[in-house]
Amino acid sequence: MIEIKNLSKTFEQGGNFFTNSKKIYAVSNVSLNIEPGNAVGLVGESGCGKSTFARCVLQLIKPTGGSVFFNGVDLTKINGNSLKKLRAKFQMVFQDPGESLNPRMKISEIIGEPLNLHTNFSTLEKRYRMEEIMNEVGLKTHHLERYPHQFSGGQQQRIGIGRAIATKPDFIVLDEPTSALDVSIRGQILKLLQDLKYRFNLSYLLITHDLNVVLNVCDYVAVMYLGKIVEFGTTESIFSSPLHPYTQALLSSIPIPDPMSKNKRIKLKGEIPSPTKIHKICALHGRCPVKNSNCDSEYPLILEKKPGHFAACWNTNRIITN
Amino acid sequence: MLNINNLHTHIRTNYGNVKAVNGATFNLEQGEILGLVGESGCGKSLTALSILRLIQKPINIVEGDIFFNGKNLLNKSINEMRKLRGKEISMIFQNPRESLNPVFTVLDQLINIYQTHLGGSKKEAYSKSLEMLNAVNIPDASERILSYPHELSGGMCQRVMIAMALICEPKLLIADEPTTALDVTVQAEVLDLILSIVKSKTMSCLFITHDLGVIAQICDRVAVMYAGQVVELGRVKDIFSNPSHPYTVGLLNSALRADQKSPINVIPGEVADPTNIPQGCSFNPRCNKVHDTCYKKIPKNVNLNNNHIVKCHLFNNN
Repeated sequence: MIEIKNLSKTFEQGGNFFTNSKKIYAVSNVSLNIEPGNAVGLVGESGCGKSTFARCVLQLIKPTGGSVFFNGVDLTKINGNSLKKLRAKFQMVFQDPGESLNPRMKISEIIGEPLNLHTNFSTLEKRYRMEEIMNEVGLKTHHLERYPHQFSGGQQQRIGIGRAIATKPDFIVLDEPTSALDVSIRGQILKLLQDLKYRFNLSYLLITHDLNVVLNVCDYVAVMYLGKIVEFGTTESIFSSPLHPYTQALLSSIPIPDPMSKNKRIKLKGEIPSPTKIHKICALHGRCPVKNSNCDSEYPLILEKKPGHFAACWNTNRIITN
Repeated sequence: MLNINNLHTHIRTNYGNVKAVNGATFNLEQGEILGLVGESGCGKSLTALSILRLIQKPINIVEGDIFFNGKNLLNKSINEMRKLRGKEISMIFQNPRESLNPVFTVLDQLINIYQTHLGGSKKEAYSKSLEMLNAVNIPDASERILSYPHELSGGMCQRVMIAMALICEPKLLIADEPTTALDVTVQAEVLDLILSIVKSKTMSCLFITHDLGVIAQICDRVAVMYAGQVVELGRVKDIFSNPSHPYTVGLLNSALRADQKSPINVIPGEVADPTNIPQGCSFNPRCNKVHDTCYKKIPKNVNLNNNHIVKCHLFNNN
């Protein structure tokens, strides 16, 4: 349904009459398919280009290269008005629920806004639909008359989700939907997202750095490192047998809430390299614990190493032990 | 070495008295790491700030005692407290970039702390600062020492914060969510660092977090906080294998595990409103084992075994 082909985004920074501007390669040549009813998790460290990628997919920022097909229509090619009409079908839920709701608007205005823009509902129909949405996200209908500050963080995120599902979209991008919430509330929101997905056959692109969330909500996982996807596969195969050394390091770093489990941690040395260079060789080169002479030659292509499991690494068969 | 006894820290507001810390009681032994865990708004951070008395007017310590090495911190004068902070007790704050001064270099900030508490020449302070930065694994420490905070990454800033907290070799380190703002890979490194420093110098550490995974990895004991009270306290092993308070059970069930897929469990309801704490046990609106007594009486602490203490009516009868 969503087909992303070689999507790239380069930002330009600084530069004036005397000096050239610096280029930042935030996302480079990323391809990804999302089928109806599937949730794809996009994970990676902060600054790796996850959010930029998501915004490019929804055309909230114009990508510098590549194309995004939504039900066969290339979103990067169509004009503003047709894009606006299509937006009813793909929506976004933002990271900080408190900051993404307008403090001067009542909940009925916040949820009513997409309905005003995308439907021709009468006042009564609109009211009916809004009450329906409130029920779907687990809030009461009298909450429609309140303002965002009268709600707790978890409830605010429910409103954010309500606004996203108002126009009955097919595809929702969730940008760190639970990172601002507490453990106990996080569970409630994840449950709600799972419910909505099954009920309305929604597709999700879920961006997070919390791998626990991915395991519990997503069908597929894409691991991003420095603007490129380095591994892609079903959630089970990525969590049970990660192939890329970066994924292995990432998974081994998650603290497990069990004092008895003492799994070995794989350490990556150093910091994420600067995104201002084009990396001709593997971007993990300087930090990788299993690099060999192959890694000095050129950038590894993302290849199918096992059925349905892709990785971009020269020596994916070597398992790290330390 | 640290004994907190029935601490009440309240905030006076136009809407009424917010009982943010409402009778917290726990102790910290020499050389151990105690995890303080709970949802946001349960009073974890305010407990930490009360220990250092870093609180100001509408916030007041209304009742209780804080004994540090046998002396009550609440009886000390402002000057005595100032000498204590950074030297005997120091703190690592949640957001490293906001807690460093943006207009001074790392070196200036480290030297300032060292000379304030221990005096000595600038040369001595410089070599000690460099030693600390090396100890917290900052690469190219001699160059980095001259950078400003904005030139460093988040993980690097947090390491500078740790170096600042440890330069005077305090006896107690309070870490308030030191890794929440960091990525998992960086978090793992910072945790390793805190663990190795605390264990090698036999410092004590009060580690505040809401991440049960972090608690399981580095803490010796854990105190679970709810609505300003410690509702369960014990060794990490005991609490994770045998959680007794219904809140602890709910918290452990709602933690997601990366090593196995489990159904998502939640604690129903919302965190107790500190302006309006329910009568009796403060957890009663969300508890799945609630009975009549819970609405009437406040539960007392019960020692199950091995100093595994729980504050719940389910255990009061035995």
